[in-house]
Amino acid sequence: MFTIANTIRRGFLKIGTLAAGLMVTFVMLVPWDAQALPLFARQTGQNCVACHAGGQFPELTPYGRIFKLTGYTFGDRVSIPLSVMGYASYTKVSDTSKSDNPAADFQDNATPVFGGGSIFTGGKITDNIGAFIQWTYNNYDSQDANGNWHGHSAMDNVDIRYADRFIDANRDLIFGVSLNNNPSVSDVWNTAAAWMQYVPGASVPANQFNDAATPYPGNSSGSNVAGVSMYMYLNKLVYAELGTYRTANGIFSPLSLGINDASTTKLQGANNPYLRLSLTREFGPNNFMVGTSYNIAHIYDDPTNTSDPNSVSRTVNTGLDAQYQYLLDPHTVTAQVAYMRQKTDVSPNTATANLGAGAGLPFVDANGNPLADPNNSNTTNTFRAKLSYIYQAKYGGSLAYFNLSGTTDTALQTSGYDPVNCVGLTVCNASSVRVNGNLSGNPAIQGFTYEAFWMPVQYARVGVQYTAYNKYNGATNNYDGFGRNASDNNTLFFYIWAAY
Amino acid sequence: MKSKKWMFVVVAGLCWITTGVCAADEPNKTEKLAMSYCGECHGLDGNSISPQFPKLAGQRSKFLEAQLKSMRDHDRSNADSQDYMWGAAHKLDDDSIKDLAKYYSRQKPSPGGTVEYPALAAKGKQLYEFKPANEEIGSCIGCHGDDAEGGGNEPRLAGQHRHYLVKQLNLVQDNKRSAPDKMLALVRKLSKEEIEALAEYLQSK
Repeated sequence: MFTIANTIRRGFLKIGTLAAGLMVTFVMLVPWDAQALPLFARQTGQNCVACHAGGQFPELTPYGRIFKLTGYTFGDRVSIPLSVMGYASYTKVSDTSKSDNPAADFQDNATPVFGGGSIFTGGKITDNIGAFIQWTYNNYDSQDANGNWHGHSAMDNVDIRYADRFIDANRDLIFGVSLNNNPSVSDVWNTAAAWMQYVPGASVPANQFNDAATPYPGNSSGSNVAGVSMYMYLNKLVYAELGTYRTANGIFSPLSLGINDASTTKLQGANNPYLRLSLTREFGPNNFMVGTSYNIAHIYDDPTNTSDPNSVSRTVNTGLDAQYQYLLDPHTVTAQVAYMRQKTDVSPNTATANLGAGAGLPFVDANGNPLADPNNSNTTNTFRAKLSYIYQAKYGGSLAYFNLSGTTDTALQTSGYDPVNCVGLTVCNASSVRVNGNLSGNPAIQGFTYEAFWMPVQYARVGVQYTAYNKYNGATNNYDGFGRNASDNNTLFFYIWAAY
Repeated sequence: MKSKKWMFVVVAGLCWITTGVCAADEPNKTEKLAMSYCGECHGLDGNSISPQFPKLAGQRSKFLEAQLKSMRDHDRSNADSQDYMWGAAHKLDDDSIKDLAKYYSRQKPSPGGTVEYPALAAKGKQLYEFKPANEEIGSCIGCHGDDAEGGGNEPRLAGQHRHYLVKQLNLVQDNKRSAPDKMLALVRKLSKEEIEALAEYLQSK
């Protein structure tokens, strides 16, 4: 257990030391210009608050949404169309004692880490063509046999678009086409799957329970595929987008550049449609959106083997979302709700393998009976709600609620009653997993994230998040079978995040 | 085939919409700039929806010209000017500024807002019409007109957003926005409540 006050004090001291070091290095290496701002700010000549609600990137204002929908083409082409972003953090997990190997399970807990960063390019290419291209370096991509971390960089979000606008006194139609690598990355509301999670975190074991790791509504194909979508926004009332996705190979390889083959999503064919509809309204300082999305993905079980059509699963994502903003300085208020239902039908090969697989598992149920076969179809429901407030585009906070529920599936069980290796009908280390174990086979996760942050300048953010779990891996108590409770995963996460 | 049919319907619908839009009278260069860029904040017809941004419809063209030039040249340097308008105005040449100013001066201002606080609005009307004996101090009505419609270099205030008026008067009071000497002398004497009263009255005109 830890006392929150002492932990906060130690956390800020450590992150402050790291931040000071980073800032000194940054200032010495990079030419310092008081007006130097990230790429789009330099292109438009406008400060971050013009496009980002309360200055909070990546959340967009109505003006920011139009900037994106019209192809990132407002303003003048920048001679060096580059920006950089970096982040550092310090994490404290509530309980690291309920583990067989805390040093490994919670590696880098209570340690400042530089998580990585991104390079951005794009912006205005012509009066009708623009881009948003992000290349990301992960400082903690993999570990070798000696436990040393190795970094790796790869393509991240890509959105290259052509847009035009037909406008007169009675009608306003924005029309465009986007080439992108992630269903919903072309979206302009921050309830979209690609844009709802803001603060990045290092991919170290200590961060496995921070807010970035909690359930967010998402599309199954992830962010390394290739797709083309057409969209329109009529009279700032109706937004519609329709597209389809395929594997990012061949001519589309750049959209998954740097991602190794085993980690790349391989889609079958090009019939993986994405649909987005939303209604919007602005009145006074308020704006409101309600929308829906739909995506089907046919995904190969093994990304390194796409020869067998029977190894393709089918996932359908159906989403509902809504966003409200109040933008009138010095106050910015945003409320977001997003719900995503995901139904996955396993591949024919997996369905065949599932037959009788229950009996082959190392576990039995609490009564000593063999487990059921894994499901051939699973559904999850992810709900997220967030309320944020920012004062003077400097001081802010948010409260988020997350809830993932879904079908129970023995395929999810990584802990269980093992009559062969354990004394009596108990859970033991021989076959079960601590910390991340799942005794119930249910995926449920539920909790809250509390956040406070400060933006000393418009392109930097210092903050703290506290994520508190009511439920983890299907249970409130003893979710792993070894006595670990959901609240043991509560995490305090300090971060510094800046762009240039 | 089924999936191709509904895609055809969607594309056909888009063609219908875009054809309908394109068939309308094509706006000229200034109108297009005003509607598709300036209009994002100031409203399609210059009547901004959000009180964060001023209404420009019916505004005095000489005043607008002066303000656009001062923001383009970075003379007007309060926070909002820097955040939004320095970038928006930096590419405008004098002719474009003149055309934009004329365009907005010809737009029809929306009707004034409702009075939420009648007593405050009544006080605001008194303040607006008050003519100080000391000629060194200006009067609102003397420069901005009987109906706050502006004139010459003085801006129209009638129907402007309450929030925006309060903000600008505070900026003038705090020396963060320039104003004629007679106006400075008057505004510096106003209390916060009097500023609110003036704004409540003027937004309803």
